[in-house]
Amino acid sequence: MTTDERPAVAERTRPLPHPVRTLTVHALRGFARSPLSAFFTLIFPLAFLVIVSAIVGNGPTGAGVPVAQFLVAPFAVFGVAQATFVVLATDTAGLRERGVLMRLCGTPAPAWTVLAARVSASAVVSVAAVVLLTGVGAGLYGVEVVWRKIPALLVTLALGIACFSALGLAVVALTRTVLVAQTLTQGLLIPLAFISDVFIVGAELPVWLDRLGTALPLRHFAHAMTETFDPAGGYGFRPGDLLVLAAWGVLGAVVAVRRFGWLPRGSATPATPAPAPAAPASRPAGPAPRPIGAGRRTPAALLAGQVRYALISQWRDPLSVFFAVVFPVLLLALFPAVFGAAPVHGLAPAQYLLPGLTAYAIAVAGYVTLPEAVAQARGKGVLKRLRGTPLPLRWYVAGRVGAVLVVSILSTVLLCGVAVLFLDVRLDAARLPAVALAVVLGVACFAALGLAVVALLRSATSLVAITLGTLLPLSFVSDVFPVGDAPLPGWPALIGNLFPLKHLAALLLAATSPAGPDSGIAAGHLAVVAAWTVAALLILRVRGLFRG
Amino acid sequence: MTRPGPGLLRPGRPAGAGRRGDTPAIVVADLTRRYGDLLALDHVGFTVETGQIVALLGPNGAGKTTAVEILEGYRPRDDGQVSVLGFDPADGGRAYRERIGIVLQTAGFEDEFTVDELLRLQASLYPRRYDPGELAGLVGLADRRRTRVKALSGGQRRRLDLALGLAGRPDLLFLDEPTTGFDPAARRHAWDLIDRLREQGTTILLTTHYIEEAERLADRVAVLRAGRLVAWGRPSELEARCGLPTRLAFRLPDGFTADRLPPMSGVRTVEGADVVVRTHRAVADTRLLTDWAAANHLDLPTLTLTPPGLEDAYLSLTGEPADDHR
Repeated sequence: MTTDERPAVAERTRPLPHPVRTLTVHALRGFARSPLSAFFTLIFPLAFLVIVSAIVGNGPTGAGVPVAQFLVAPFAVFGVAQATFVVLATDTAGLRERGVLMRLCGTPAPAWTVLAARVSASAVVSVAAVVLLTGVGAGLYGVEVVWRKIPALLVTLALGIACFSALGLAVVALTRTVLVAQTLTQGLLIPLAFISDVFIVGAELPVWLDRLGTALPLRHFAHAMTETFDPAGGYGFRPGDLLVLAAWGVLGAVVAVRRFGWLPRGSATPATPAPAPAAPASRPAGPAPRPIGAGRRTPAALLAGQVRYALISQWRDPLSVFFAVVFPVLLLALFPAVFGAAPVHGLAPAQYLLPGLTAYAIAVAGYVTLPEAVAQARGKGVLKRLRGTPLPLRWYVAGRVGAVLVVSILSTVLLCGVAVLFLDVRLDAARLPAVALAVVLGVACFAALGLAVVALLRSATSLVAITLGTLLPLSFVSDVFPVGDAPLPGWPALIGNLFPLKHLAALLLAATSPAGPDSGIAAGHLAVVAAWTVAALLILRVRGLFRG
Repeated sequence: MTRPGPGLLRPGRPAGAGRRGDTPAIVVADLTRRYGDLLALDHVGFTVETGQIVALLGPNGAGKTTAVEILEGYRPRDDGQVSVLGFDPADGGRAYRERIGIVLQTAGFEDEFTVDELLRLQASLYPRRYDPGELAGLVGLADRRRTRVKALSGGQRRRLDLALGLAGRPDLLFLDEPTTGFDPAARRHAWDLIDRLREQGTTILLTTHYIEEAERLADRVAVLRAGRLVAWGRPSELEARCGLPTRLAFRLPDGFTADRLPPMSGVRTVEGADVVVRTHRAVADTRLLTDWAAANHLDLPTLTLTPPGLEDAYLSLTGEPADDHR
């Protein structure tokens, strides 16, 4: 290819920026190209701020400042914790798993610079989250920057970043794969946010939850940050909270330093031991294997095989199990504890929460997990290989949807079981068929919508950002995540009414609530869910699932 | 900061020029490494002179990658002495890594970056380096510089790997199976590139599965088997040392059967009219055969005499049975 005889060597000795700077810029560029990270650290907290402000209204509090003044800090804390704990851990574990850390280790860049750059990039993103939320708060809701407390804000933020980065790297040090690191960090942070005055401020927690929240660093970070936004007197330092942050940071740093590994940990290392040097694989000793089986397998057998395969793949993805099954149950157990026993819309809290969270579980299984699995299979060439087999692809899709149904039934049973056994919820046996109908229809609707998203999107990377990014905000305006007893104001209510999540929740409410119709079927809501199903199927029909 | 190492590297010095015959680039003695009960490396020792290209051969799991990763500084050793460019890789640190280049067997990339961005980043980590554009040209990726890594083919990714290993203009380059997955043209191109690195005096330690590659590139070959170094030397030495028979092959003319052949010392296999004789006395047996052919007024138009090749030597050394039907 190259015919030039001269060695194409260039001597370049002009001074370069420090590797930390180069690697930080590189890491930030990587962040900018990863939609899911941007979603969780920037968009998600911002959406929270806008939605919660819209719902609780922005009237002045007792101290005469707008409510949003006290909302910016907790949501910023969530963004910072996402950037430093979850994203840092997930990205670093990913780089280790792919051998990128190993390659960087072989360069002259000292090992510490590689991690320092990842942490700096997370710090930059964290600052961006704080600035973004403060800016939007100031612009839309009249949030005031308390200039006197800026030094306290900077110190608190720096300490929080250091603490959660150290903990994130400790998780990387203690885990083997990116999947486990991601599941662990996200699975810890989101439930923790509920008991740490981040998502819900001033909740009446049971004693043990309260103690748990106090022992862990997130609540202290939230309190210390909120203080720096409080226009009341003082300079905004909370030494006690800062001390706890520092202590957790030191603990994380010690674990990270002692246990961190740079080489991939998994099946790839070390070199697999050789069997005794004999019996070359190219010469099988026995006779050639004889073909088995006679004739085509029945559709039922094919479908069962595909459902089984889809279920296995889902169980081996702990993050999806967490979001689809564990998380809703966790919320069901947590919300009544957090909000107390005051009735919501005339119902006991658990009775009111059960249908919403069941709808949420179904929506996650169908609309988040399913499309992610299918898009990944498409991206990795699994679908291509399948298309080379005699299996018609509709059986693959049917197997995936069947798995969604199995998972949804499981979470419904689990949610109902927890509600009946521990939360004094009564279910009417005569209306259980209506519950079953709602679950099946809900699976059909959200699975069809999920597949429609796969059909519409070319790349798998932005997919979860879009599905979770629409589902989570929608949950706040769809009677899924409770936002108080008052009816929703104008535009949130309109959005809730437009999309199927609220209607599925209402269908399930009619089937589970003592106040529902005798048949347990709410025809109007059923029609809306069915209409969305048909619309999604039409998109699938027009676009085709496997193009691209 | 891109300080040169303490007294060991002066930026701007032509790599390896005039340093042939200096102290050896790599000295390994009694290198031992265990994984639990498995002895991955068992008292391995060899010396690589500056400017040499050495191929490490052996079946999967023989310990090639373990050996290379110890020399690269990735893995600790349990026993033995290792000196690479005068450093102990276990604590060579930055000064050591500024002078070596590593092409890993299994490392991935950050898929969301372009070829150019990754080359630029990698090069920026070394005090002495190639220009990213030239690097891309060197490995034949000049037209893919703006492509994101995820859009590269398997062979192109491997070439990017090679380019990243070269980014720091190393004195010593480690290549762990550098051309696995290349098409024949890309492999030739990679070989040409390695030849050019040799001309500049770069020392290269490579592992490979391809005997042809070792034969074509290597000044010395090391054969590992189950953690032991079973052979070391020039490819031709290895071939001679294995004491393998020479292969004498021909086709019998019509009307002749094998039982009319003269008695030869070698082992004879006959398949139809095709005869193969494996002999340790090639001259004597050839003479018997040609005298017999001349006496019978026969021509043996397909007569060939083949010395044992590196592949035969390798298969014999690693205990793999040779293919009878070459």
